[in-house]
Amino acid sequence: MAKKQNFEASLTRLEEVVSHMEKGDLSLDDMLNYFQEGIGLVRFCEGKLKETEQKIEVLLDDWKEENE
Amino acid sequence: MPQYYTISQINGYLESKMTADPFLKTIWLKGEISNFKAHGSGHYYFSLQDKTSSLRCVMFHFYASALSFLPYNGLEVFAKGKVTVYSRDGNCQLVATEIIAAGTGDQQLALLELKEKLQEEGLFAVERKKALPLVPQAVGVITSASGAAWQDVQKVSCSRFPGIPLYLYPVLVQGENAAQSIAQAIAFANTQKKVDVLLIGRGGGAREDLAAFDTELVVRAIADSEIPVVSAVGHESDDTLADLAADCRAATPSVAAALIFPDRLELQQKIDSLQSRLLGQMQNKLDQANHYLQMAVLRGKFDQPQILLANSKQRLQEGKENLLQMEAAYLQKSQAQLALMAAKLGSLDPLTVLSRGYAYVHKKNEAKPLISPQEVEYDELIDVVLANGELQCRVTGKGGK
Repeated sequence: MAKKQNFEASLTRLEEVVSHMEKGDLSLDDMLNYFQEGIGLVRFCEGKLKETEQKIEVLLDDWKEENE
Repeated sequence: MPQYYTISQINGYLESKMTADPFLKTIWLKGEISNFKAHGSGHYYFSLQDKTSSLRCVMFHFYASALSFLPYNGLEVFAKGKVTVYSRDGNCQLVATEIIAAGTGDQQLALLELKEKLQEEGLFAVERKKALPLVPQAVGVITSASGAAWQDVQKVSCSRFPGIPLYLYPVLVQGENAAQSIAQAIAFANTQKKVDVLLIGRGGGAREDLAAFDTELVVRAIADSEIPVVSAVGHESDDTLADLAADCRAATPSVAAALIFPDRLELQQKIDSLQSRLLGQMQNKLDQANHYLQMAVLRGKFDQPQILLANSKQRLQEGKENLLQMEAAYLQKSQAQLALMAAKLGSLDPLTVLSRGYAYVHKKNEAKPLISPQEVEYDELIDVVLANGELQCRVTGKGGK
C-alpha cells in the first residue's frame, strides 16, 4: 500500500491534536500551530469523505488466465 | 473374613482402567438413538442400541450446542467419543463429542475429518484472528466477476464510503479449479499488497456448490494471509471451513461489505465534533489573551491606551471571525499585531504625561529627576525633557515654594 496521507492516521492525529489543546497549558503560539495542523487534518478527512467517485479496478493476471 | 473392596473402590478402579485404555479413548460407534432426552442444562442423554444390545450415552452442552441438528429416537447415527464407566452407578457409557446421521455420505465424513485436523492445528483459533482496519485504504474482493456478490459489494461500498478504492480479483467460485483459483488469488493479493483487507465470497448456493470453500487449499491460503480476510459464503447458517479460518465472517457479501466499509455519516459526525472542539479551544485561548490585555491596560490607568484597547479588541474580534472561517494564516498576523500593541502599551506611561505639557528635569550627568531647587547651584547646567525634545538650561535664579 502506498504510504500517502491516510484517513485513519489523519483521524488519529486529529484526535491527538485536539486532546493536546484541551490540556490547556499551551502558549498562544503553540495553540496556533496545533490549530493550523488540526484544520489541515479536518480538511483532508472531509475531502476524503466527500469523494464520490470510486476507483474500481479489475485485476486480470496470468494466474487467472491459466485457470480458465 | 475374605479380602474385600468397597463398591466405590471397584467402580473407581474400573473407571481408571477404562480411561487408560487407548482403544476406548476415541472411538466411533454406530447405533440407533433411543431414550433421547435434552436436559435443561443443555446436555443430551440417550442410548445407542442395535438389535441385541444398548449403551448409555451422554453429550455435554459444549458439544451438543455445536450439532447442526437435534437427534431423535430411531435415528441411525455414528457417534464419536470415549467409553468409560460412570463410577456412581458402575454403568458403561459413551461420552459423545460428535454425532452424525448414518445416512451421511463419505464426503461429509471426509469434511468432518478435515475440519478436525485443521482445528487441531489451530487454524481456526480465536488468537489467530486479525483486526480489520478502521478505515481501509483499499479493499480487495475475491469472487466471480460475473456474480451477484461483486455487484452487491460495489453497491454497499458506494453508499457507505466511495472514496476507498476497490479491487476485484476475479476467480472461479465453483467447479474443479475453483479452490486453486481462490487460493492463488489470496496469495497474489498478499504479494501485491495493494489492499489492506480482503473480502472472499459468493452468493448463496447448495453446500455442494460451496465445496471450494471447504477445501484445505483455501483454508490454508486464508490462514496464511497477512491481509485480514472477511468471508461471506452463502446465506446458510452452517459455516464453511473458509468461514472458520477467516478473521471475520458475514452471512452475505453485502453484510461483509458493510463490516469493511465504515459509515461515512458516522465518521462525518466524529470529524464535526473534533472540529468544534478544535475551534472551541482556540476561541478560549483568544478570549484569555484578550482578557490579559485588558487587565494590563487597566493597570496603566491612562486615557489614550483605552483607544488602543478598543482598537486591539476589534482586531481580536476580527481574528476570531477569521478563525471561524478557518482563516488560520490571517490569525498569525493578527497575533503579531497584538504583540506589538502590547509592547507599545508598556512604554506609553511617561510620554503621556509629557504630552500634556509637563517636563522632566535632571542634572547634566544624572538621570535622577530634580524635585527641589536646593539640589542645584547657580549657573549649573540642567537638562529639561519635553514631549518632543530636550532643552539645555542654566540656573539663573531659585525660589521656594
